[in-house]
Amino acid sequence: MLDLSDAELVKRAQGGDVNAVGALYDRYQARIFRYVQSRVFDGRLAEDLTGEIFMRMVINLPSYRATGAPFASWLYRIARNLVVDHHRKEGNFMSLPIEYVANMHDGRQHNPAPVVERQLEMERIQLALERIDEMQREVIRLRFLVGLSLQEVAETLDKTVAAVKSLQHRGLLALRVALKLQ
Amino acid sequence: MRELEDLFQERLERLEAGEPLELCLKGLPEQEAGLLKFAAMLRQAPYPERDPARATSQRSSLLDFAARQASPHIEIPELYQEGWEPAWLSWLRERLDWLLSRKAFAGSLAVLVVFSLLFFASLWLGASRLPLRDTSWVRSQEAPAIAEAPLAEVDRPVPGLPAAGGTGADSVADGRRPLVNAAETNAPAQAAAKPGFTAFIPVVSLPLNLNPQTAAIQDIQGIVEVQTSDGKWAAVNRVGTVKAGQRVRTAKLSSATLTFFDGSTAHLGPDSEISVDKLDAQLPQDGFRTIVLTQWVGESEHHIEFRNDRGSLYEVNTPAGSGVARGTTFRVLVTPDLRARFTVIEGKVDVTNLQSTVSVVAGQMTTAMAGRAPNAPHFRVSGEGEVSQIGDIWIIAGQEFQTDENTVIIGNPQVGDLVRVEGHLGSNGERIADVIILLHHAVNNRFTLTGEVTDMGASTWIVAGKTISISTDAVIDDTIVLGSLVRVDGVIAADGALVAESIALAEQAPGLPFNFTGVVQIIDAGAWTISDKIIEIVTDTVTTDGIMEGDLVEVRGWIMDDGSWQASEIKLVHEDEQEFTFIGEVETMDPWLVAGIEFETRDWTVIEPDIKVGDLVRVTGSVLPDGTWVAATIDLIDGDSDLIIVLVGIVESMDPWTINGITIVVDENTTFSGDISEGDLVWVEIQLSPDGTWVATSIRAINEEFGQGCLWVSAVVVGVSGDQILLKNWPPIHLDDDIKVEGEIKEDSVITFQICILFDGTIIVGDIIVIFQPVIIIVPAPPAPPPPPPGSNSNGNDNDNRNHNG
Repeated sequence: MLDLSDAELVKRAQGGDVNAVGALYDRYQARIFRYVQSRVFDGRLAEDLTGEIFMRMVINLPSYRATGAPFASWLYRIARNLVVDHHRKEGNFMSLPIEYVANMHDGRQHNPAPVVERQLEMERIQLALERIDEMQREVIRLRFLVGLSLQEVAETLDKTVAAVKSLQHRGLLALRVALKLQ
Repeated sequence: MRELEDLFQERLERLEAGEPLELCLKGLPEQEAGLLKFAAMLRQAPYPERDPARATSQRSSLLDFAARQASPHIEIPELYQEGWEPAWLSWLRERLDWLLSRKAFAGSLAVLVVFSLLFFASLWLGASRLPLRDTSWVRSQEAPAIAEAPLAEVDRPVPGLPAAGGTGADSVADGRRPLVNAAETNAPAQAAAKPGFTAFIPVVSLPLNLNPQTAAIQDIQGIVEVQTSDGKWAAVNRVGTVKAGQRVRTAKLSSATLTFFDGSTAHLGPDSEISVDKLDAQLPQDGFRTIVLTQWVGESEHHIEFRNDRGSLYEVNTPAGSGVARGTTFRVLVTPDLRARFTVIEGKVDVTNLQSTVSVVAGQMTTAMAGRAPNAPHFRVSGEGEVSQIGDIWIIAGQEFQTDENTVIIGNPQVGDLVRVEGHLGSNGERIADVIILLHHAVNNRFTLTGEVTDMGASTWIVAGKTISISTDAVIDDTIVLGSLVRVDGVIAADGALVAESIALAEQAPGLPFNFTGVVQIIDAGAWTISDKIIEIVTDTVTTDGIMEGDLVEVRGWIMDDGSWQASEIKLVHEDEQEFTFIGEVETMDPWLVAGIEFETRDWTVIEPDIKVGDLVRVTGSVLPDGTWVAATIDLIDGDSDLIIVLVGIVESMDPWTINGITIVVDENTTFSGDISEGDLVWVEIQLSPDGTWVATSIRAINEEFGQGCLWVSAVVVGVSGDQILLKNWPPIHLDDDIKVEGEIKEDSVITFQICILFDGTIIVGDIIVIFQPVIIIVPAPPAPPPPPPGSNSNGNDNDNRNHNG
């Protein structure tokens, strides 16, 4: 099962093969979680939303057709829509741990433990991401946090590869500036 | 610029392929090299890991769910599968591809070819009823869970409801309504035993596995349920099936379409219930079509495939008569008082009651009542337009309509408003309005007024020198006194009077007002879910007694600064007052589909320019009696591009503003609520400016003025002393028996908890969850330096030391 392509797994899953659904989950769950976590800043919530995304995948698999667009793009669209729905339902509020916000802003880091440093580094990147253009941010997330290819990002966001390439370039520039400003 | 982007991408792809960074950097301009290093750092950033136990548990649940989903599986028809299509179809497909590649030419011609191809393919498949390649595989996909009841159960009475084959219609109808007997059920049973096949039905948006004894339930809006053979009602989500002996019902603001095997459809409007008494919808070449339905209540519209034979039957029974048609389009309305109205759009329908039959042709309608013969048919008239006169004679779209005591007027339309009218022609050709429904208030019919109250009479007030009529439905802040500054919203009546709908203290409006009509889905102590929207219920919320889940209600209230919707009033509304407002993403624009809800627009619908698929919009409008949603306005609203950061913290200084050590920019647009002093706890909403500055949009004191509300905060523990937790930049928390703690709280833990503020300023702390636990890392002692070799310099190697320090 592990060596099957996405398209083959999808075809089996559409035929009712539960193991194929499991293989798709194994293949994508970590990256989907990473993407969701980068958008909701809350590990518990990200876990819940990740589960819901795969439920939606199962529900919508029968209507999925391999039209040339990668399966990953289709799945990330589900993830993206769900996160947008979540933000909408929650009233567009992004809740950040206040202490981290304070630390990020004045550069103070109180705990030297490596674990904390790594976490703070991630928080730093996420905060900087929030300061750049929305579409650039989405491209950076999908390309570098999730690891999608240019083609997959283009399919996910309904844009051309050239446009994504440009957004990626400008996004990296903007993100680097935003990180320096912190 | 494009060359640089391409070059950068080429190097990035090499990096992603595993090439060392140093090699990838060679020859790159300085800026691109810096970006590539940055990208490499991003790729290696420490991403959060999932809890393995959670992932495993989730996987298990997912597989269970997938297994359950496998039964009612919707299959892609093999018509589209590779390697099967005949040569002529391949040829046609190639030509189609060629056409599509010619952009200037493709356009409408390609679309025409596609539709023609699909149409003929579906006809061809339907006509030949081809068994597809692997029928055993297809068979395994059939028999959805809700269609499992054996046919022998067709006439089994359902507990708590009349038997499917009798009562209701039988008791009042003329006795010609056929009963289902064993001989009749035998044929469908034999048909069901045939090998299954996939059908692609014209006019059906999704291909489904169907047979003549089942109908698809599709185009579902709102709450739609099907009654299973054990008498229980089960909700249908996206699509389902129904067969003889089962019932389908819709809730308020809900609708669904039954699609039969021969392509005929029955669309159910809101608050409708229909039972499938007999169902064997054979295709013309295979036999007769037999579809017998009983509509117990509500509205339905039937599109019947024409059959040129005498054996086919499409019959809709009601408690007040039956309608029989061969190939036509007609509507049936059954009111709660058991009157039935048959309206024919196309063709002819024979309506029978008490052995008396009238033929109703296109454009006509007839009404039947229990125990009476159907009325002579008369021509119907309907339309939409602007009201230019009201009274006994209404003028709508320039046409006169008489009204009488039987005319139902919904929504209090006034001159200038847009309405829908449905009626009939009287014996002298006069138009008689049966129902007039407000579709959209004229914009100039509304007013908003802010001013001082100088008089407060029982039925009129004077605000800003204007006389305001107070309607019985007006929502009025009871703290208003003479001299208060108020905001009045209302409508301008036909006689020019200003009729208030709401009056609130201008300086104390807690947020943006909202008002919508929806279906109550969940009733909880602190919050209700109404039409998928969570509405907070507070102590001041006024609700009509006896509201239950499923009821249609009108909700008024305020959208609070924290984004929550707080109800000031929830009241039951007349079931015909079906207005809607909802927010969602645009899925398609022709037809309009937003958040899964399909609706229509009219010439007068106000649509904000530049809306495109994917945008977040707010839609308002009305639900017509036939279940059609008609939009009055479609407004673009910002999506998640306007994220706001919320801080809750202590004010450390106010010039400049510093909260919890963070410098906040306060400008002329920042709003303040409550008296705020240094040391106070405040709620701050911050907008990140493009230049990176943090601009406060609002600062509110968290005290009794804050009102009721809850918020989540996170903070670092700086100490634990007995039952007291000391937090950084936060007042101490006293633990008591009511506060549950998830995790072990210790110094440097990061905890998150919810606090709620009551009107008296009391702060209640909810359960505490430890979200981060400091990791204690034991740093091993450095290894002892090796003993210096005999005769070496005791100062060591200076160069090595420089390297380590450097």
